[in-house]
Amino acid sequence: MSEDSASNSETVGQRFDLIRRPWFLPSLVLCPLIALRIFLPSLAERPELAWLDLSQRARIHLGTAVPLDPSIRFLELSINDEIARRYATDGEYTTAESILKTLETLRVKVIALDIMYTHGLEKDQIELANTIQEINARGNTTVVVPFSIEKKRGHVPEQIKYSLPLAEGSTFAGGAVNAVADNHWREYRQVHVFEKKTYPSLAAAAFSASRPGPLKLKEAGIGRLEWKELTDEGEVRISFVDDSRIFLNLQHSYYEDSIDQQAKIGPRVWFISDLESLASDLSHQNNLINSPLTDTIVFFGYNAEVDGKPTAHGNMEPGMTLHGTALNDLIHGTSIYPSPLWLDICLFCVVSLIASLTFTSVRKKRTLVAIALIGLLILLALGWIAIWFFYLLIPAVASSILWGLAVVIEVGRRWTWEQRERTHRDALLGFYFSPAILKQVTKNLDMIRPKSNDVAVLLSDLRGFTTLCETQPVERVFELLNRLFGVETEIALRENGSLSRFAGDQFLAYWGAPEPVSDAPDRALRAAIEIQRTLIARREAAEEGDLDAWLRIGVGLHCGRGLVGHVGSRSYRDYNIVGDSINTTARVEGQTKNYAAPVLATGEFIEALAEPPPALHVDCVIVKGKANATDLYAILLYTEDHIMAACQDYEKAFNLYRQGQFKEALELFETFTDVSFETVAVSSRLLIERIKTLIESPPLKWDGVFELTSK
Amino acid sequence: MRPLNYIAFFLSLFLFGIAAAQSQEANVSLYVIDHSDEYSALGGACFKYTPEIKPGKDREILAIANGPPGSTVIMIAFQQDNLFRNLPPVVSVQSLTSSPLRFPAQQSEARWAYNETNNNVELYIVALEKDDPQLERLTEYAAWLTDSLGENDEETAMLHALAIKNRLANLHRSNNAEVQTISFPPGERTEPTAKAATTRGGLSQLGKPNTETKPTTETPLRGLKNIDAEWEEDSQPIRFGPEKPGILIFPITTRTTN
Repeated sequence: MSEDSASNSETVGQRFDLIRRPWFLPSLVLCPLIALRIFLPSLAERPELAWLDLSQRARIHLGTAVPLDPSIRFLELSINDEIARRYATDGEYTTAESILKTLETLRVKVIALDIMYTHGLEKDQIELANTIQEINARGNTTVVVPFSIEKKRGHVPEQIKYSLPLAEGSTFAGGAVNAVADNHWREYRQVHVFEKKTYPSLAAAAFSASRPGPLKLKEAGIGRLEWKELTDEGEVRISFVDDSRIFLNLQHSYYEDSIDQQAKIGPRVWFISDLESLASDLSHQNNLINSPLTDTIVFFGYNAEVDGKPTAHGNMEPGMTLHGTALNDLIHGTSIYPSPLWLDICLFCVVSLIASLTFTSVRKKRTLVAIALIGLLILLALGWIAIWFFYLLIPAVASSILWGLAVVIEVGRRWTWEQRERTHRDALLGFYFSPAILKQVTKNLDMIRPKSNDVAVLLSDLRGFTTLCETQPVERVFELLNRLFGVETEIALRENGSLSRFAGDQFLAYWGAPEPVSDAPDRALRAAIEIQRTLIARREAAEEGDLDAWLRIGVGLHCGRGLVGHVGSRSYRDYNIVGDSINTTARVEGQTKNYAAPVLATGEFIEALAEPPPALHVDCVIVKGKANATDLYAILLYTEDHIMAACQDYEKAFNLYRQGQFKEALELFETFTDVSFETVAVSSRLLIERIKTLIESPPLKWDGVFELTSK
Repeated sequence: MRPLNYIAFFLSLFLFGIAAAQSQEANVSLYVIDHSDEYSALGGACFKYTPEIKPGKDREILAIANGPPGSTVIMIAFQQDNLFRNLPPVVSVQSLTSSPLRFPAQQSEARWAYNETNNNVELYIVALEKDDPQLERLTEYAAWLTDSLGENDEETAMLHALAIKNRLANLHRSNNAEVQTISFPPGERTEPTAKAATTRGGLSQLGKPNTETKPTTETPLRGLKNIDAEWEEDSQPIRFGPEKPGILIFPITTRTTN
């Protein structure tokens, strides 16, 4: 928006003042967003989680995803024919016992069971419990038994559901299998609090079991587990997990092994058959020490069909992926934390502030849109950077929405405002410019900023206007002016001229502003000739008493510097041209009646023409108020032979006059006073009178230039 | 043979030569030393370690190793994730003038008494080139571990030991190391191992992932007095190369024989 249009709009639309404040529109979006974040946090979080999802997928495509810690492996129990047969013959619990023993044989450090054994016969439960106890007692492998914190359902209160309930399952060291999959597959809690007691998650319990006794996780207040670990500098530090929400850093699919393969890590997911044949082979070779599962933490669970928990990578991924990832995050400190409310609000406010500043400083809509796009990219990228490098889920999407909406509304506001202004401006500027120039001006409002240009000026004045006003009714006066200006305006605009406001009977058109025009004088000349010819034709066709008979004007043409721009006050402004060239043109026009020249042009104008027209050099004078001489040329509207002959004679006499041979010139001029070409006749009479005066009182120094004393 | 085949053959030979030139070897021997009076003349009897050798009150375990100049050899014993009996790890940068490296360290007072049955004890011997990316962290952790042991800070020592163990386990799992594990066939009795028959027997097993050591009877192999000069004859090679540390794992178990 240009300043002038802005100030125009101020006068036009005071009632939209609030909308025009740059902070208003961002605030309009900011307030509901903050309200949403405070009152409907889970809804506000959804798009951020989708963005988190995309960020992780992007990492895979970029090849920067990090494989799960090689110490974390999965053993999937798929119910295939073989397992179904075993379940039928040995039973589910005996099969589990056998698998646990095989894992122990393969030197697994921790087996984290992701299967709740709750519905078996008491005998089976006791046998499995005994097997687990035996394995734990041998000390090479620890089995972590799961339990579930059940939500309140109807009349059933919230409770802990233990595995192996008929075999004192509650006495086993275990971990909660609750992954908040019903809310969002990424959400997890490393610690659960139930009836003011602290319970580790399955991941935390497995981690604890993998550490030597004194280094296991210890309760440090309700809902907090602590352990000691080393910093990169070898210093001991206390780390902790609490019951706050985290989001799992699920970098790749359970089925996606390529990242592990790139890191030269062996199979991540094992199946029972593979495991048993491996155990058999290694035992046979007496090479169990080389088991690929040595010192690993194995999550043992059913496949997705039985497990049924959704994950980031689809419903076909078993829920134990969640626990495995949680453990990986625990080991490497890569859990993603949702940013706190205060940080979210701060981010929103900063984005809003930047939007306000941008709206204030950026004027062009295109620049604004470009900045908006860059801003969007930065905000969205910021979200990924926060996830990838700081493990923080910031409201990048919400901030982008805030930014984007604010920009869209701002652009809409500007567009609407511009439409209003354009309508207003077009109506205003349409008075001054031809449609072609108006089109350019409305495209680029800089064109009408104040400037100094070389212009060709056409100025006309109605002859006998004072008499007309005195003798004719006002309606006829205005009718005549409208007829005259109608002709002049139409012809000037056809030549792409720019107009100045009408002043009385005076008409002013110019070429070369607001934008330079290479053939400005030619256009002005064409317009002047056409105007005069049209008016002559109208006069000749006029009947008695017809107003057209009054259409007699003098036209002055001049070239020079013109200053163009808006002038006026806040209440009234006008695009206008001012400067010496306008004054000179007015003086020249004033001389048209003295020489009976319908169109009188200056020497500068004639020199500037690409092709000089037939013209008669009528005089060389210093017009009133000017210091330099001005050659005056009467433009010939018609070029009949007698006119051209009269002009040649006049020029001979005029040359004698300029050379100071006044008597000879006088004699010649006296022969022209009765010629039919009025310009020559009237000009000759003017010069005869002047020469007589010069003869009576000869000038001390004569250079052919006569100084006029009146306008 | 076509010319192309000749080229392929010589190219393979050339590449093999480069690979062979780049890989290096460290060596280690593991003995049970018997200090009982009957072997006092020898300064103590050195039995090559096998699970069949029974623990005794005068017995201790001693590992001797060396590596090519510029390499670093680390020896550390674990029982599961714990440092075994708080024996400080031994780290030595090898040079042309280095004397063989002993574990437990000769200078320290720590001794690995072999007086009871221990399960799940593993001796790790790690050889690394001087530019190996693992070297700095492993030696750092080993130094911190030794410091913690010196300060009797048991928990910190456990943390450092766990860090080393995890690092070695990850190397093992990720195939970023030449790992050899010594396994002993169950219950197999073989002929007594004579000195002449054991000359650098390990060399013939280069490149095999698992090295089987034939069990020996309790016939003393060497005397402790001369062990520095003779140990290499019983040694196991540990192959390693650029960015590929060599790890040899000796499981220390005791087997009851009838």
